Amino acid sequence: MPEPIGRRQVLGAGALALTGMSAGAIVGMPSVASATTATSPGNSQSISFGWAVDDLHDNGADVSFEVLVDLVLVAADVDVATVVMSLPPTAGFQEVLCQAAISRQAPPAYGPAPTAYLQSPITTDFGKVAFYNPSNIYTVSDGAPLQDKFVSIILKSWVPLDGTASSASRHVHTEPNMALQQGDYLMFHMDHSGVEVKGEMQVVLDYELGGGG
Amino acid sequence: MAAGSGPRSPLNRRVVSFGWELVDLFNNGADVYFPVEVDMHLIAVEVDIATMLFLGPAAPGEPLQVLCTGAIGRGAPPSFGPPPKAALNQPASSNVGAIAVYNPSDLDVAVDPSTAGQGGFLRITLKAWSPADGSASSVSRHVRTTPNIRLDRGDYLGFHMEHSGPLVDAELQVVIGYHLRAGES
Repeated sequence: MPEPIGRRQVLGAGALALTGMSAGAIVGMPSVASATTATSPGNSQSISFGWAVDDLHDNGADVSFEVLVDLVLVAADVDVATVVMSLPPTAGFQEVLCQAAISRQAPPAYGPAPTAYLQSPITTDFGKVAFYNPSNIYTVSDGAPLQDKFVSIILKSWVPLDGTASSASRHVHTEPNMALQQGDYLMFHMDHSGVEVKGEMQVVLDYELGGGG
Repeated sequence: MAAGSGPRSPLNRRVVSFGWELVDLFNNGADVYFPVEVDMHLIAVEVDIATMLFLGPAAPGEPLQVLCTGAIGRGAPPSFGPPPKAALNQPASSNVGAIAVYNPSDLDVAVDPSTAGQGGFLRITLKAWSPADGSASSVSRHVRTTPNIRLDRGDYLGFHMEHSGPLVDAELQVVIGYHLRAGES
């Protein structure tokens, strides 16, 4: 297993912060780029970046960056994929949870290792989750909806001994249309259980400058 | 892009998310639900759902199916059908008639419910063949729907998963986009 790293490690020129259990195997792709000019229609702009974790194995990691100007997050495109990097010792499942959220006016907080979940606040707009489970199925759930988490994707697959068709992927386009303020943070998470895989997330964010007010 | 500071402005847009996993679904089903605490408009619901074998294939080959539904409970928690499926009940809509079937070849047809359910905003059915080694037996979907439905405090949102076939793990991740109605005429 790779050596654990400190809770926050800065990649590149400081634009992207990264937290996790497997830093030696996490690859940042510092392709953050402004794509438009002040003369663009509607002042729309886009940025993109990618990150990969080469050896996800019953653990997780996060990346984040600060919002430096007031803006409206119009849309987010998230492409995530997982792949086994070698034949598994035994057949089994693999699953990767991929999430994105806003941290309001503070650097992100994370749950404990190994999963290192994003710590989003419980909403006051909805109540707690209740269950009807007459067959007593083994259940795992958030206790209540969480505020400001705007992407949540669950990749699952069965990995047979020869690895056939064991990859999983998704491309998600979402339109939060939410105001972000200078000092907010955008944070992204992947965690895993099962057969060891590589997980990668590519992100494109479309936004307009200004606070939407 | 909405502008200004009214209820529909980006300043008033909110999102929440929750996830729910059933680890050992096996020819049964379950439900989750939670109350709406403030008056709002439900703008978008994004559901990511995936299922996979959890213990491996149990037979040389068999189909697996997971049905996922979502509905609004108006002013009260939702009610549920009997186990093992524990379906999320919805009142029959009074705005449309009963569903009619034309079946001249006497096919094996199932329609459920017999009249479209009021307040239903999500229906997804996952199906896959599970071969002897489990290859390619996983199945998933990402669905974005934009109901644009008014919700009042005291309403509920409910979600259901039920299954048939080999034992699977199924998980639902949900992102809900809405805006508060406070200040809206």
